[in-house]
Amino acid sequence: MGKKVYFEDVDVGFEIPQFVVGPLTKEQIKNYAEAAGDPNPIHVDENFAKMSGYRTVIAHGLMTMAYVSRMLTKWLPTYTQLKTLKTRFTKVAYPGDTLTCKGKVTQKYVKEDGNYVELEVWSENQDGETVAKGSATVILPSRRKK
Amino acid sequence: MALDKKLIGRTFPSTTFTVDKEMIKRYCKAIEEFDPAFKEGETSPPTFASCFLIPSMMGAMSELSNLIDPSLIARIVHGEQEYEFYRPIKPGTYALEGRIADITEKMGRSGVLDILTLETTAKNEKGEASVIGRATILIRRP
Repeated sequence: MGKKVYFEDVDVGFEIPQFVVGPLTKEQIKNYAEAAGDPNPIHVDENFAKMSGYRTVIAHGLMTMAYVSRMLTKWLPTYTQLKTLKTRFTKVAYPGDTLTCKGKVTQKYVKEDGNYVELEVWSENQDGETVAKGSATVILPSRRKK
Repeated sequence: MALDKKLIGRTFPSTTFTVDKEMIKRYCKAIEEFDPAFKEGETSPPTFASCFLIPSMMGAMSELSNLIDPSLIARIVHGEQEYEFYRPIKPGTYALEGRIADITEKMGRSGVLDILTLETTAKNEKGEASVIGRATILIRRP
């Protein structure tokens, strides 16, 4: 997890550190399928994936989401500061793909229970194509508060 | 045939799911999350909640197969996922309470898509909501 980051340190447009993962391997996808208890053969069975119209097995959308989350928790000092995460799976990720997760602040506001920062988040493959995109909400401490 | 919008709000029987340290460690290994906070499996990274998805969807789908054409169930794609994180998931038993949050439709590249949003609230042993997940499922009409 990251160093302390304060509400006052980020403004709209602020880009958080990118997180790069990959190249993804079939082994990693298989490990994810097992860990998440996902029985869909499209992630592990080459022939099944081909019959379904893909060139090989595909990564789980939720796996790409996990990497977006890792970018956020790597930046945040405490993982519990991540309050919401939403991602749309826009393109399939394949073994061999390298994913770069990115995030940018879109809004910040103070509510009774904390200082909220909203971000747009996304993940791109090596060709610059977006595989997942969405939004996240995090809570940051204020420098003004004791 | 379109999905019946009357199904919006329908709840599914609650199921339980037990999380143990090994499960958390296995998940962390799979996403290569080696942060010391998760090393012993005593707490989990936020998206560990994705491990609830399959059991909650299985429950919902077996219920839904009584309500919608089973051939549609084979034509689903996970289009979107949303989480609200309230408390970290730690080893323990969670109650998964599912409901149909929304049903809409839109025109896709290969025809009309029915869009089903399944909401699952995972509650800890104290009955507190730990995480709410919303899975948006796209179903291609035959």
